[in-house]
Amino acid sequence: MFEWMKAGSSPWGPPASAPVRLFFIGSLFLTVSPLLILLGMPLAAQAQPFTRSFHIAPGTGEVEVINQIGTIRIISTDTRSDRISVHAKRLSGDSRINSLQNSSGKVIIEVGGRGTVEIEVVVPAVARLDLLTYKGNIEVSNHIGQIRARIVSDGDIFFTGLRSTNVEGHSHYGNVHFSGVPVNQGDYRFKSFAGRLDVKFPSNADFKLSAATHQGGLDLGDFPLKYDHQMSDIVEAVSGAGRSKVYLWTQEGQIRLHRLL
Amino acid sequence: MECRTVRISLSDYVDGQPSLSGGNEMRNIEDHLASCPSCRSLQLELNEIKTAARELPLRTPPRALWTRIVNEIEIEHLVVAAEVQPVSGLWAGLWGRLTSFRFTFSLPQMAGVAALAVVLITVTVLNFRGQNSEMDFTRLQSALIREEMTKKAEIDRKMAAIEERKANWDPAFRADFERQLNRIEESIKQCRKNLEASPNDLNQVQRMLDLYEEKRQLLEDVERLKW
Repeated sequence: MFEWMKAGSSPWGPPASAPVRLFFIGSLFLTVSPLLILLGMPLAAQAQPFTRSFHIAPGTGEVEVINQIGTIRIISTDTRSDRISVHAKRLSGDSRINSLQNSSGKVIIEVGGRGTVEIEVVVPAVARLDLLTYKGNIEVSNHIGQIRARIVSDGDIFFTGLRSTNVEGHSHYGNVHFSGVPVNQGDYRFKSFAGRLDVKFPSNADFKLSAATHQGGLDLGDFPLKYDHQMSDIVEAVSGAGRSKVYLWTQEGQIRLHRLL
Repeated sequence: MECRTVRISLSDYVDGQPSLSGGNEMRNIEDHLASCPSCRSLQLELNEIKTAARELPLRTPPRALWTRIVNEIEIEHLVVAAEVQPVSGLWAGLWGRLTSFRFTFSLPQMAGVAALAVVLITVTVLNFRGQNSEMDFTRLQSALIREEMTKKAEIDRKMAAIEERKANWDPAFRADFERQLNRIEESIKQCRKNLEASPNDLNQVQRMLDLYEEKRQLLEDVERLKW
């Protein structure tokens, strides 16, 4: 390779002189190097993590996350924390990540364009969460504040160790998993069009259940339920004094309600 | 008249509401329906729902459904009570005159009046209870129809906004969205068939409302994603 340069000749014409050779190599370098830099820029931007931090009044917090494709993970910390931190990683595509805090203190994280982005948000456990992604999982654990989590297409929702009074989870094709204690006066609504709803409560949980599935069937484990209305695909029942409300709906998936071990 | 205006008044038109009969609106709607197949099909659909609802027998509704309309009924009762209140002033004078009047009855007369009162009260209570449950059930049906109409109207609005932008979407996203929408539509169709087969099944009505809610929510989520 490049033997023609060493030999002082050009493959396209007669042998070139030394200044001509230098000029040729210089032009080649000037043309190729910017191209290489331009090609490398998106890769560098993609690999670069996105990090932002917002100050909030202790014991408060409201976060809205809108992702296109990728996981949203919420890490709940001390309820008195005065910070909300966002860490995001672009895994593929040409997505844009924006985050801002509006005048009422709400932190909004929004992903635009196409591509996979993993978002992790560290919030005080009492923060109010509104999470939406087109495809990808949503994970929330040990949280106390109000939660609304929605997956437009495919992906699973995982709620673990929650003590929130108001939780809503919906995935169109994916499953919704909840394990935790239904708090008195709490409201829990889990829905999936084609996925499974998998709910685990402690054996002494106190709740009023309304569950409906069209095709997937109901598996209500061994809770001591008192039935108000019972059919193969629709159930209304009470466990204990029915102090919290649990609403489960799936058109094609299965509903499973089991004791937390 | 525009389709949008007609659709807002269509429910009242199908119900034969007096608010429409006074002006030219009734005639305008009729003219529009004669020339617009889309609104006419909506009118037919509303008529079907109305007919189906009328044929439903008296039944105890599932508690979730019942709870939803209890508030509405209570509000209506409060409104009626508020309207009735001024009349009590009229009766105050009569009551005063009655209490100041001296009545003298023999024992057999009093026994006869008491027996008559017991019979009248029993008949009235029984009659009122029957009417009341029938009235509540009719209210339940109309509340369900109203809810369905509200959801449908919102879906139409959102759908129109999405249709305008859909051409610019990523083809893969668009295909996925249409697949989801078709699946929900298929389920709604199936539900409607089941309802036609057993029009008295309130669970099917509830299922239909859930599916409309699913569709409405899908459109709302897609709007939030700003494709």
